[in-house]
Amino acid sequence: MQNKHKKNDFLRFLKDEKFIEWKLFPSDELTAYWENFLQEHPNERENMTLAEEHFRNIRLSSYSLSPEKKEEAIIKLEHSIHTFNTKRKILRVLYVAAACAAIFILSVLYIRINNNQPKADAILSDYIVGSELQSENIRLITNNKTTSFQENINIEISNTGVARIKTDNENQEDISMDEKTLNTLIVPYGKRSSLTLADGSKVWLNSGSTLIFPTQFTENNREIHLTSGEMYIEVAPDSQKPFYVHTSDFNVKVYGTKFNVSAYTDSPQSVVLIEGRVSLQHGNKQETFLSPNEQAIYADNGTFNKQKVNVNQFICWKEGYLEFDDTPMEDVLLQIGRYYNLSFNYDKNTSLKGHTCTGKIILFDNLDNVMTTLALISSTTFTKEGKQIYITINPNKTSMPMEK
Amino acid sequence: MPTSKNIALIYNRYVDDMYAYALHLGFNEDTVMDAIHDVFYKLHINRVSFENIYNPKFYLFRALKNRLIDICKESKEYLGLTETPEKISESMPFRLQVTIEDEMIREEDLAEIRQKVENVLNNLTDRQREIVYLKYINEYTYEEIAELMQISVLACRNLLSKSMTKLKALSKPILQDFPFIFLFIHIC
Repeated sequence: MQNKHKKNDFLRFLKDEKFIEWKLFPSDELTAYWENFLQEHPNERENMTLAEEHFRNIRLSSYSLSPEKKEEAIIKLEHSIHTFNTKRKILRVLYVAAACAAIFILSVLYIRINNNQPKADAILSDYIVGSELQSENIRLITNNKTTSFQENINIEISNTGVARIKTDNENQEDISMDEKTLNTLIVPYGKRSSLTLADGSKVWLNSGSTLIFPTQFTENNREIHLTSGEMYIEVAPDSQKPFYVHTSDFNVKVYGTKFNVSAYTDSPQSVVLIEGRVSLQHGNKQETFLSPNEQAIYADNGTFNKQKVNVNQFICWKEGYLEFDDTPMEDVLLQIGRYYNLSFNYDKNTSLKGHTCTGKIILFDNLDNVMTTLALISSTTFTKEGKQIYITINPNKTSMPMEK
Repeated sequence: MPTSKNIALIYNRYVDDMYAYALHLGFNEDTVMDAIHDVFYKLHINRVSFENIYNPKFYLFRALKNRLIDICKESKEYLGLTETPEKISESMPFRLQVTIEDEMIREEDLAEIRQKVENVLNNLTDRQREIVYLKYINEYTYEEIAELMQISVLACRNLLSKSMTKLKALSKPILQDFPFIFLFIHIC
């Protein structure tokens, strides 16, 4: 009995707040108190040691995380870190890319400025003025009736003589055509159109073009007339019915092929062959045969000058961009002027003489973007005031154009 | 820079203590887990190297407490109040949970002991309980506790000694009970 009680005597210590306090935060004072107690009651030492041992089982905090939650939290953390690392990597790549682009642009500009310095001596007049012209509608004349369209159109002619006309805005209109009379499609400057003929041949018409074509090809020959402008055509093969394109200067006889015809009044007429075989003929003179990647430029005496060309430069307009390779600035402005219906006026002795341009210009709907690109690749500056556009050669150290 | 593997290792080692500390400060479990996540995420972003940290556990506790204060601040700003970190730190509750598991002691005795320990702790302020927790359970020094609680070392010592005096006033001297015990033994 006595043993049993003795066994539980240590509980008195555990139930004593002064003992609890001493165990939780021992101070010199409390330590002295309990040492004094032991001296007075030496037989309590055993109980106190026992109480101290049991005190370790008292916990003030029992919160703990379950292993599953811990695992889940670690996975979440690793995921966050992984995402962050990926972002950091992408950012680093972007920084490097931006730096490379900046260096590239700066060096291109530097080279251009340097290249232009000798040419700048020939500067005579200070700037070119371009003006936006009155916008005109695309006109389709059939059965002596004219239909107008404000936007670029895409025409498909069916076997039954119905022309299905689609605009860029997906509007659709059907017009039935007379089989006997010829139809005329007039695409003014600043507009483009495409046309699928009754035989399946596909025609792209550039700005400032007029094409005369039949509703059906009933004759033994398929014949169309490009009275002015430029077109690219992919002729549907048909060995029974040869295909002819007539311009004011010559006839193109087609043997199943893709080619570009340029018949603007303000530049020499020419044909560029992409695929297949065509022959050119002025009046009854001898035929000139063209092979792919060749350009034939009509000379006034009825002959053609042939040369190898990069065909892409001549047909890229139908894809919505222009490509230049050391092209004279005058030609560049001519092409852009046609596309956007602009007229550029400059002196014959303009400062742009001898100035060339290399690069690509995407033909955006927004003229400002195009002029910005042009300014960049031709090292010129442009300013726009209302419908007038002023282009100046970038001034450089050797000569100031304004001094003239 | 700690790799994600290192981070996971450190996380595993210290998350339990951090978790308990934040819960004692009165935050709910989701907030606590988010705060701990943020602390370790920030460690990675700032490329903190653990080799240069003298006491990683203390470092993590401090980072966690700062994060919790920020969370408080955000929610208070949401309510339209603005408070300094010191004030927020001052106003956080601190609750401790007393548990005893001892097969040698009978259930009713355990209940009584638990009651006594709770009495001792309930007579302290929140900040005093926090000091007891940090000192007794996590074995921090006064300097570390002072930094964690954003108070001076002196204030920290004073807080603890005040808690002691309070406790002393409470506790009855054990000796008063002893004559009765001796008597009891003799009778048996």
